[in-house]
Amino acid sequence: MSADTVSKILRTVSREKAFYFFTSIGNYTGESASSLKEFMGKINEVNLKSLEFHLYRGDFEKWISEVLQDEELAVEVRKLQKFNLTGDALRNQLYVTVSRRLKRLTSQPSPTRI
Amino acid sequence: MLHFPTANNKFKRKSLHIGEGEATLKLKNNILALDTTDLKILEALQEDAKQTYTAIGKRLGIAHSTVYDRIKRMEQNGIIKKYTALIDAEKAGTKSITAIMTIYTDPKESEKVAEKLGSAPQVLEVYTSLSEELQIIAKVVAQNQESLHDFIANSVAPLPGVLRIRTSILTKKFKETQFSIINDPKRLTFIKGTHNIKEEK
Repeated sequence: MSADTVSKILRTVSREKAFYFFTSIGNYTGESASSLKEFMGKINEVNLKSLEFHLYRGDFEKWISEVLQDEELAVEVRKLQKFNLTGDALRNQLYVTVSRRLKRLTSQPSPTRI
Repeated sequence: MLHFPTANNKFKRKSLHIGEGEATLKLKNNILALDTTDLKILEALQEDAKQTYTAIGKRLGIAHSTVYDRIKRMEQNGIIKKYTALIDAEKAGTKSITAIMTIYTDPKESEKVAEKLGSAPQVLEVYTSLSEELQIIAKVVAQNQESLHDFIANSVAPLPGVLRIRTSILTKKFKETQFSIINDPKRLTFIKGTHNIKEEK
Protein backbone atom coordinates (compact mmCIF):
# COMPACT_ATOMS: atom_id res chain seq x y z
CA MET A 1 0.00 0.00 0.00
CA SER A 2 1.42 3.36 -0.97
CA ALA A 3 2.29 5.98 1.62
CA ASP A 4 -0.21 8.31 -0.01
CA THR A 5 -3.01 5.79 0.45
CA VAL A 6 -2.04 5.22 4.08
CA SER A 7 -1.92 8.92 4.88
CA LYS A 8 -5.25 9.40 3.13
CA ILE A 9 -6.85 6.74 5.34
CA LEU A 10 -5.27 8.17 8.48
CA ARG A 11 -6.06 11.83 7.76
CA THR A 12 -8.41 13.98 9.82
CA VAL A 13 -11.51 14.82 7.82
CA SER A 14 -13.60 17.97 7.95
CA ARG A 15 -16.46 18.44 10.40
CA GLU A 16 -18.98 17.79 7.63
CA LYS A 17 -17.43 14.42 6.83
CA ALA A 18 -16.93 13.24 10.41
CA PHE A 19 -18.82 10.23 11.78
CA TYR A 20 -21.67 11.23 14.11
CA PHE A 21 -22.82 8.64 16.63
CA PHE A 22 -26.59 8.20 17.00
CA THR A 23 -28.52 5.73 19.17
CA SER A 24 -31.55 5.61 16.87
CA ILE A 25 -33.11 7.59 14.01
CA GLY A 26 -32.42 11.28 14.71
CA ASN A 27 -31.01 10.78 18.21
CA TYR A 28 -27.47 12.14 18.22
CA THR A 29 -25.29 11.28 21.22
CA GLY A 30 -22.99 14.28 20.91
CA GLU A 31 -20.02 12.04 20.05
CA SER A 32 -18.24 12.22 16.71
CA ALA A 33 -15.01 11.04 15.12
CA SER A 34 -12.96 12.84 12.47
CA SER A 35 -10.25 10.24 11.92
CA LEU A 36 -9.72 6.51 12.17
CA LYS A 37 -7.74 6.97 15.37
CA GLU A 38 -10.49 9.04 16.93
CA PHE A 39 -13.07 6.53 15.72
CA MET A 40 -11.21 3.73 17.49
CA GLY A 41 -11.22 5.73 20.73
CA LYS A 42 -14.93 6.42 20.49
CA ILE A 43 -15.74 2.72 20.15
CA ASN A 44 -14.83 2.37 23.82
CA GLU A 45 -16.73 5.47 24.89
CA VAL A 46 -20.08 5.62 23.12
CA ASN A 47 -23.32 4.04 24.25
CA LEU A 48 -23.58 0.37 23.20
CA LYS A 49 -26.93 1.11 21.59
CA SER A 50 -25.12 3.43 19.22
CA LEU A 51 -22.66 0.73 18.12
CA GLU A 52 -25.52 -1.71 17.52
CA PHE A 53 -27.55 0.91 15.65
CA HIS A 54 -24.77 1.85 13.25
CA LEU A 55 -23.23 -1.59 12.71
CA TYR A 56 -26.45 -3.23 11.56
CA ARG A 57 -27.43 -0.28 9.36
CA GLY A 58 -24.04 -0.50 7.66
CA ASP A 59 -23.14 3.08 8.64
CA PHE A 60 -19.63 2.24 9.89
CA GLU A 61 -18.58 0.39 6.74
CA LYS A 62 -20.10 3.14 4.58
CA TRP A 63 -18.13 5.89 6.34
CA ILE A 64 -14.92 3.86 6.36
CA SER A 65 -15.30 3.10 2.67
CA GLU A 66 -16.64 6.41 1.34
CA VAL A 67 -14.94 8.95 3.58
CA LEU A 68 -11.74 7.28 4.81
CA GLN A 69 -11.54 5.23 1.60
CA ASP A 70 -10.31 2.12 3.37
CA GLU A 71 -12.03 -0.72 1.53
CA GLU A 72 -10.16 -3.41 3.42
CA LEU A 73 -11.37 -2.24 6.83
CA ALA A 74 -14.88 -1.66 5.46
CA VAL A 75 -15.05 -5.32 4.44
CA GLU A 76 -13.79 -6.44 7.88
CA VAL A 77 -16.41 -4.34 9.65
CA ARG A 78 -19.17 -5.61 7.33
CA LYS A 79 -18.23 -9.18 8.27
CA LEU A 80 -19.03 -8.44 11.93
CA GLN A 81 -22.72 -8.12 11.07
CA LYS A 82 -22.88 -11.85 10.38
CA PHE A 83 -22.05 -12.76 13.98
CA ASN A 84 -25.13 -10.98 15.39
CA LEU A 85 -23.01 -9.51 18.15
CA THR A 86 -24.53 -7.20 20.72
CA GLY A 87 -23.40 -5.39 23.88
CA ASP A 88 -19.81 -5.60 25.06
CA ALA A 89 -19.02 -8.48 22.70
CA LEU A 90 -19.78 -6.17 19.79
CA ARG A 91 -17.78 -3.32 21.32
CA ASN A 92 -14.76 -5.58 21.90
CA GLN A 93 -14.86 -7.18 18.46
CA LEU A 94 -15.25 -3.84 16.69
CA TYR A 95 -12.42 -2.35 18.72
CA VAL A 96 -10.11 -5.28 17.93
CA THR A 97 -10.93 -5.05 14.21
CA VAL A 98 -10.27 -1.31 13.99
CA SER A 99 -7.22 -1.26 16.26
CA ARG A 100 -5.60 -4.15 14.37
CA ARG A 101 -6.07 -2.26 11.11
CA LEU A 102 -4.79 0.99 12.60
CA LYS A 103 -1.69 -0.79 13.92
CA ARG A 104 -0.98 -2.25 10.48
CA LEU A 105 -1.37 1.12 8.80
CA THR A 106 0.78 3.01 11.28
CA SER A 107 3.55 0.40 11.19
CA GLN A 108 3.90 0.62 7.40
CA PRO A 109 7.50 1.52 6.48
CA SER A 110 8.00 5.08 5.26
CA PRO A 111 8.86 5.42 1.59
CA THR A 112 12.61 5.47 0.91
CA ARG A 113 13.87 8.83 -0.27
CA ILE A 114 16.56 8.89 -2.92
CA MET B 1 -57.50 44.59 24.94
CA LEU B 2 -55.22 42.53 22.73
CA HIS B 3 -51.85 44.01 21.82
CA PHE B 4 -49.73 43.33 18.80
CA PRO B 5 -46.23 44.65 18.23
CA THR B 6 -46.03 46.65 15.03
CA ALA B 7 -43.05 46.72 12.73
CA ASN B 8 -43.83 50.20 11.56
CA ASN B 9 -41.93 52.69 13.74
CA LYS B 10 -43.39 55.75 12.13
CA PHE B 11 -46.64 55.04 13.99
CA LYS B 12 -44.96 55.21 17.36
CA ARG B 13 -47.01 57.16 19.93
CA LYS B 14 -49.70 58.05 17.42
CA SER B 15 -53.37 57.18 17.31
CA LEU B 16 -55.16 56.13 14.20
CA HIS B 17 -58.83 56.84 14.01
CA ILE B 18 -60.70 54.93 11.44
CA GLY B 19 -64.06 56.57 11.38
CA GLU B 20 -66.65 55.27 13.79
CA GLY B 21 -66.57 56.11 17.49
CA GLU B 22 -65.47 52.83 19.02
CA ALA B 23 -63.62 51.64 15.95
CA THR B 24 -60.25 53.02 16.90
CA LEU B 25 -56.79 51.60 16.24
CA LYS B 26 -54.57 53.04 18.92
CA LEU B 27 -50.82 53.02 18.66
CA LYS B 28 -48.99 53.52 21.91
CA ASN B 29 -45.30 52.76 22.45
CA ASN B 30 -45.20 50.84 19.20
CA ILE B 31 -48.02 48.57 20.35
CA LEU B 32 -51.21 48.40 18.38
CA ALA B 33 -54.40 47.99 20.37
CA LEU B 34 -57.47 46.48 18.78
CA ASP B 35 -61.04 46.92 19.93
CA THR B 36 -63.77 44.28 20.11
CA THR B 37 -64.99 44.96 16.58
CA ASP B 38 -61.51 44.43 15.13
CA LEU B 39 -61.15 41.20 17.08
CA LYS B 40 -64.52 39.96 15.89
CA ILE B 41 -63.56 40.73 12.30
CA LEU B 42 -60.32 38.81 12.79
CA GLU B 43 -62.23 35.91 14.32
CA ALA B 44 -64.57 35.86 11.33
CA LEU B 45 -61.65 35.93 8.89
CA GLN B 46 -59.84 33.17 10.73
CA GLU B 47 -62.92 30.99 10.46
CA ASP B 48 -63.29 31.73 6.75
CA ALA B 49 -61.05 34.24 5.02
CA LYS B 50 -63.03 33.94 1.77
CA GLN B 51 -66.25 35.43 3.12
CA THR B 52 -67.30 38.84 1.81
CA TYR B 53 -67.18 42.16 3.69
CA THR B 54 -70.96 42.20 3.47
CA ALA B 55 -71.25 38.76 5.10
CA ILE B 56 -68.93 39.78 7.92
CA GLY B 57 -70.75 43.10 8.35
CA LYS B 58 -74.12 41.35 8.48
CA ARG B 59 -72.85 38.90 11.09
CA LEU B 60 -71.42 41.66 13.29
CA GLY B 61 -74.19 44.19 12.65
CA ILE B 62 -71.90 46.79 11.08
CA ALA B 63 -71.59 48.33 7.62
CA HIS B 64 -69.54 46.48 5.01
CA SER B 65 -67.53 49.67 4.45
CA THR B 66 -66.50 49.57 8.12
CA VAL B 67 -65.38 45.97 7.71
CA TYR B 68 -63.43 46.98 4.59
CA ASP B 69 -61.73 49.92 6.32
CA ARG B 70 -60.73 47.93 9.36
CA ILE B 71 -59.41 44.99 7.35
CA LYS B 72 -57.36 47.32 5.14
CA ARG B 73 -55.86 49.05 8.17
CA MET B 74 -55.03 45.75 9.83
CA GLU B 75 -53.38 44.60 6.59
CA GLN B 76 -51.39 47.83 6.32
CA ASN B 77 -50.23 47.50 9.93
CA GLY B 78 -49.14 43.93 9.49
CA ILE B 79 -51.71 42.46 11.86
CA ILE B 80 -53.15 40.48 8.99
CA LYS B 81 -49.99 39.08 7.50
CA LYS B 82 -51.42 37.08 4.62
CA TYR B 83 -54.31 34.95 3.42
CA THR B 84 -53.37 31.36 2.79
CA ALA B 85 -54.81 27.88 2.27
CA LEU B 86 -54.56 25.09 4.85
CA ILE B 87 -53.78 21.93 2.96
CA ASP B 88 -54.38 18.37 4.11
CA ALA B 89 -51.10 16.85 2.92
CA GLU B 90 -52.44 13.31 3.23
CA LYS B 91 -55.45 14.00 1.02
CA ALA B 92 -53.20 15.84 -1.40
CA GLY B 93 -51.30 12.57 -1.79
CA THR B 94 -48.07 13.76 -0.19
CA LYS B 95 -46.43 10.96 1.74
CA SER B 96 -44.13 12.26 4.40
CA ILE B 97 -43.23 11.97 8.05
CA THR B 98 -43.05 14.80 10.53
CA ALA B 99 -40.71 14.90 13.50
CA ILE B 100 -39.92 17.21 16.37
CA MET B 101 -36.21 17.69 17.00
CA THR B 102 -34.91 18.94 20.32
CA ILE B 103 -31.39 20.21 19.77
CA TYR B 104 -29.23 20.89 22.81
CA THR B 105 -26.72 23.59 21.97
CA ASP B 106 -23.82 25.58 23.27
CA PRO B 107 -25.49 28.88 24.28
CA LYS B 108 -22.91 30.86 22.30
CA GLU B 109 -23.89 29.11 19.08
CA SER B 110 -27.62 28.64 19.52
CA GLU B 111 -28.71 31.66 17.45
CA LYS B 112 -26.56 30.55 14.53
CA VAL B 113 -27.85 26.97 14.80
CA ALA B 114 -31.44 28.21 14.83
CA GLU B 115 -30.82 30.46 11.82
CA LYS B 116 -29.12 27.68 9.89
CA LEU B 117 -31.99 25.32 10.64
CA GLY B 118 -34.47 27.95 9.55
CA SER B 119 -32.86 28.11 6.13
CA ALA B 120 -33.40 24.39 5.45
CA PRO B 121 -36.53 23.79 3.35
CA GLN B 122 -37.46 20.63 5.26
CA VAL B 123 -37.62 22.54 8.55
CA LEU B 124 -41.12 23.95 9.06
CA GLU B 125 -40.73 25.70 12.39
CA VAL B 126 -37.81 26.62 14.66
CA TYR B 127 -37.98 27.85 18.24
CA THR B 128 -35.57 28.43 21.09
CA SER B 129 -36.84 27.37 24.48
CA LEU B 130 -36.19 28.11 28.11
CA SER B 131 -35.25 25.15 30.26
CA GLU B 132 -32.28 23.97 32.29
CA GLU B 133 -30.26 23.67 29.10
CA LEU B 134 -30.62 25.84 26.04
CA GLN B 135 -32.65 23.97 23.50
CA ILE B 136 -33.81 24.55 19.99
CA ILE B 137 -37.06 22.89 19.02
CA ALA B 138 -37.65 22.32 15.33
CA LYS B 139 -40.42 20.70 13.35
CA VAL B 140 -39.12 18.88 10.32
CA VAL B 141 -40.63 16.91 7.44
CA ALA B 142 -38.98 14.15 5.47
CA GLN B 143 -39.98 11.55 2.91
CA ASN B 144 -39.24 8.69 5.28
CA GLN B 145 -37.21 7.77 8.36
CA GLU B 146 -34.07 7.24 6.34
CA SER B 147 -34.13 10.67 4.74
CA LEU B 148 -34.95 12.20 8.13
CA HIS B 149 -31.89 10.50 9.62
CA ASP B 150 -29.70 11.58 6.69
CA PHE B 151 -30.78 15.18 7.10
CA ILE B 152 -30.06 15.18 10.84
CA ALA B 153 -26.77 13.29 10.54
CA ASN B 154 -25.43 15.29 7.59
CA SER B 155 -26.92 18.73 8.10
CA VAL B 156 -27.79 19.21 11.77
CA ALA B 157 -25.32 17.20 13.89
CA PRO B 158 -22.26 18.77 12.14
CA LEU B 159 -23.37 22.34 12.92
CA PRO B 160 -20.91 23.98 15.34
CA GLY B 161 -22.42 24.18 18.83
CA VAL B 162 -24.77 21.19 18.52
CA LEU B 163 -24.25 19.09 21.66
CA ARG B 164 -26.87 16.37 21.15
CA ILE B 165 -30.21 15.81 19.49
CA ARG B 166 -33.43 14.07 20.50
CA THR B 167 -35.96 13.36 17.79
CA SER B 168 -39.56 12.21 18.07
CA ILE B 169 -41.38 11.08 14.96
CA LEU B 170 -45.01 12.15 15.12
CA THR B 171 -47.45 9.31 14.59
CA LYS B 172 -50.95 10.76 14.88
CA LYS B 173 -52.25 14.29 14.68
CA PHE B 174 -55.10 15.17 17.06
CA LYS B 175 -55.13 18.92 16.47
CA GLU B 176 -53.37 21.54 14.43
CA THR B 177 -54.31 25.19 14.39
CA GLN B 178 -52.69 28.58 14.01
CA PHE B 179 -52.66 31.17 16.79
CA SER B 180 -55.95 32.96 16.50
CA ILE B 181 -58.16 35.41 18.23
CA ILE B 182 -60.34 32.42 19.00
CA ASN B 183 -57.70 30.58 21.04
CA ASP B 184 -55.94 33.56 22.65
CA PRO B 185 -56.03 32.60 26.36
CA LYS B 186 -56.51 36.20 27.48
CA ARG B 187 -59.73 36.56 25.57
CA LEU B 188 -61.25 33.14 25.93
CA THR B 189 -64.44 32.47 27.87
CA PHE B 190 -66.29 29.20 27.92
CA ILE B 191 -70.04 29.08 27.62
CA LYS B 192 -71.60 25.62 27.75
CA GLY B 193 -68.71 23.93 26.03
CA THR B 194 -68.22 26.62 23.41
CA HIS B 195 -65.92 29.61 23.40
CA ASN B 196 -66.59 33.29 22.88
CA ILE B 197 -64.56 36.45 22.74
CA LYS B 198 -65.00 38.46 25.94
CA GLU B 199 -66.84 41.71 25.46
CA GLU B 200 -64.87 44.79 26.51
CA LYS B 201 -66.38 46.99 29.15
